[in-house]
Amino acid sequence: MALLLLTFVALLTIGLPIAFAMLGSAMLAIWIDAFPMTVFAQRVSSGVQSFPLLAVPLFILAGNLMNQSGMSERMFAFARALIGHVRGGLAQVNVVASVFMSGISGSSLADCAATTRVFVPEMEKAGYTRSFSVALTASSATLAPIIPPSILLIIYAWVANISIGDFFIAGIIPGLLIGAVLLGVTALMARARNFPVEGSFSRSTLRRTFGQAGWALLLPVLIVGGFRAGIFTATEVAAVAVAYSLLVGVLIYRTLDWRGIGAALLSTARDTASILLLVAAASPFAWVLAMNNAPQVMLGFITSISDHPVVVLLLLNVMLLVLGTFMETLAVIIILVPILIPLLNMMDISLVHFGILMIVNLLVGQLTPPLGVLMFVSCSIARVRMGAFLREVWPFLLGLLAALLVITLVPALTLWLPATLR
Amino acid sequence: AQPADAQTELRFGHANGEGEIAAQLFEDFAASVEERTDGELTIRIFPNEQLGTENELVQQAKAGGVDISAPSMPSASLLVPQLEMPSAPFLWDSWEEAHAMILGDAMQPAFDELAEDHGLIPLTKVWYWGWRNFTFSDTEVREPADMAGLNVRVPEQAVWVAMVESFGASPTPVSFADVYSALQQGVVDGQENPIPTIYNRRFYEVQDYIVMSRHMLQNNMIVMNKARFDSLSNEHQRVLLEEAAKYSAMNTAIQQRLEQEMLDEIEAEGGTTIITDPDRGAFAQALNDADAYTTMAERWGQENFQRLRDAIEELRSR
Amino acid sequence: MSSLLLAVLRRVDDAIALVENVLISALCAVLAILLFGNVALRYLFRSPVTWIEEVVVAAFVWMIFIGVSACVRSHQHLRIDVVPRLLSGPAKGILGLLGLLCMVVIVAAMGKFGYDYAVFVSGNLTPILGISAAWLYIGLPLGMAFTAVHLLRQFFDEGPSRVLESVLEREG
Ligand code: NA
Ligand code: NA
Repeated sequence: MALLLLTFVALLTIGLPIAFAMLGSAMLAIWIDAFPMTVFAQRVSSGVQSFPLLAVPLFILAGNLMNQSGMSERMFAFARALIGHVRGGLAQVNVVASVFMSGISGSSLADCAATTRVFVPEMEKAGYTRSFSVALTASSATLAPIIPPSILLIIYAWVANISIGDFFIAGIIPGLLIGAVLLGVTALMARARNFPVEGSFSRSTLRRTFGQAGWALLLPVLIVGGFRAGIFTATEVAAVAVAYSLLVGVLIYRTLDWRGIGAALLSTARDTASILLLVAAASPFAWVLAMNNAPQVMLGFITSISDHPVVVLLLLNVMLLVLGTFMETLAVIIILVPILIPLLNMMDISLVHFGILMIVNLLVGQLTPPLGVLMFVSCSIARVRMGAFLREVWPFLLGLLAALLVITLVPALTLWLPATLR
Repeated sequence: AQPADAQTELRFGHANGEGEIAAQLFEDFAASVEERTDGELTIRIFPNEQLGTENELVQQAKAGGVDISAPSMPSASLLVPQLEMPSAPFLWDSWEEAHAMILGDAMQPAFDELAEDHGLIPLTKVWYWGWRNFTFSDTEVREPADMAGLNVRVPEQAVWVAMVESFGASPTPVSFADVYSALQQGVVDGQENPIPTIYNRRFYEVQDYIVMSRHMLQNNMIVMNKARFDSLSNEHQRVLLEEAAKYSAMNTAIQQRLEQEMLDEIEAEGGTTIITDPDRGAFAQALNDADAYTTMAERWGQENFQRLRDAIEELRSR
Repeated sequence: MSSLLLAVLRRVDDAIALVENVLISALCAVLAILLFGNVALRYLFRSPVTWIEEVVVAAFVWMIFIGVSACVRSHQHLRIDVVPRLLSGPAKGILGLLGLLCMVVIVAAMGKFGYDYAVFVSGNLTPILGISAAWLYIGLPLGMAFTAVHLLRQFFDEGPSRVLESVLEREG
């Protein structure tokens, strides 16, 4: 196990792509232990050979089709008509629009790229600094994987063997809570920094922009409704979401042409490949860990510190926060969840509750170096330096941590809605 | 076989959760082997799909990634298709019959192929999992005609789809994790699973009828990498086979007793009618009429399936 | 490398990239159409088409492993760039060369083991269509072969220290 982890860190350090660093270290460990290398190849291939995972490209495609048909602009316009008139209105609009977008987009990366391109220039025009705008946009992009649809939720449910429908619904309240926290932090900053006020509320603008955005806002309703009716498996719900996005883009918005569809298909295939390569690479890595008794080691280690479920959850939070700063979110989920399941079962911690807080934890790490994917994406698109970003992002990080604490201590926030909607 | 090292460790990967009877018995099997060989032969167990799913673990046992695995017969049929034959619907009259046939000459060619082409030998050919039975929400099903037009959740695999379609019902895929709510909300009218699953997953709470159709036998095996087995001393080989046989018998007895206890408990709770005497002959006839066996046997080899059916006929006529 | 060989390499690399992009876009479309078609058919004819699952899983696996190669070409795989960022001059070049070397070894080994596995399972037939399981797994070694060509071209055209850069580092 030491060899695996050391090789992995070494390969990461010299700058190999994360997936290839996992593959290289797992390969070496399997080879040194004289296992047949067919096992390595099997773990890589079968890691992605799974019907439930087909929901991943489909939800990415649905989001890409919506993006191609100009979704971010419509969401921004609707959110602006809704709350643009308050102090720091455009900053609030950014958060609210991100909440809307997260009901359509399954991955924070795609979401973050699209919103940075649209929201940051708008905010800059209105007099906000670019680094603040980027920090806010990146922070609110954490909502996409918490509110369904979500690639992370699909993959966690797949690894933990729980119902994707239930897990999707479990994300809704925590997602809205985080949205509310971000709004709150923004409101405090608006007062402290005397953010601009612009425009006034107009019922007709609201009606007009809703007419535009409403079609897209129906998608999350369709998704949750599909699961609730139990009519569809996750893959089928995702297939229907694709068809719906195509229909809205081509027939209603009339902004989606063959070129746009082609672009959406290509970027979906590429995004899927880079995401699923991480899944494939984590699979032999997890195999080596299991062969080396990692679940028992983890169980022994944690229970030697405490056997109180709340203390254990807090400990796991700290561990996940640290891991999240330098590790890829998906990889952590695939490698760590099988190792933690015996512990969670023993402690009687719900896999649904743990899943949500695990994902929130890891998303916080996406906003910080050394590996902060959301930070990278938004900073590189808007050309903001990492130092300037970090100076602006800390209040939002504190807000996210506070929300995380509440989600950890109040399981009902995650468990109530799926139980009620049953 | 050559004399083994002073201490040999075998790796046993399986897919069963730690709460399941099988998982416990596998632990006991390992402990028993260790004790009888004075610690010379130990078995390390990796439960709960830790190293891979059932299908993947068979491949790993073949490659030598693990030494021992406990696949279901359909899982092993990915290597040798005719190993799926004992899971054919409405094939058996009783467990005794199935047990005798799985151990008998008619299935031996399948195990020979498993050993020769894939280097896997059975430590035990039998690891009883139970009969699959139908449950329904509102419909009292005693014969295939009663099932006509119902949506029935089955695994989306050829044998199940062919079977349910022969009965005039619609096979509907629902992921296993969602079966309970699909039944509750009436998305499907019924499902089929072994009694322990129906009991543990509490499907009976949302079902009015359990039909003891015993339509498919679910049987697992314990298989071992042949090269690894051959490398053990005769004494160790003997211990492995004897202990596997012992725990297999113990498992059958426990599972069958538990099945009855679960059924009794379900009945005592009320609200669920257990139909103990559905017309199994009519179901088998419906499969014959729809030529479903011919369709299924395309994968297994028609001559292989004929061989098995002839042997069953012969046993019954004795 | 002689300029003629280099020109050939660029041609081949461009051709592979074109094939990859067309193939993965098409596979993505096939996935979406078949899976939506399956839902629609189920509600029209109340009967699932069992071969669809086998076909879409195969298309999915191919899309992923060919897509991995396409992502290498477009620098889409993420990495931690703290150490490469700290270095400059020859040290940066040496580190880049070392990383590239590791990458090539890993890609080559994945290709080899992937090919061996395809051979290992080639006797197994898929349950429904009855075709050799090797077809499912050969996408991995093929994707790795394509990847190797991309790495070689990037080595000559961009220099060792830039091959493993991610698109985010390049934009930022
Ligand atoms: Na989302
Ligand atoms: Na980070």
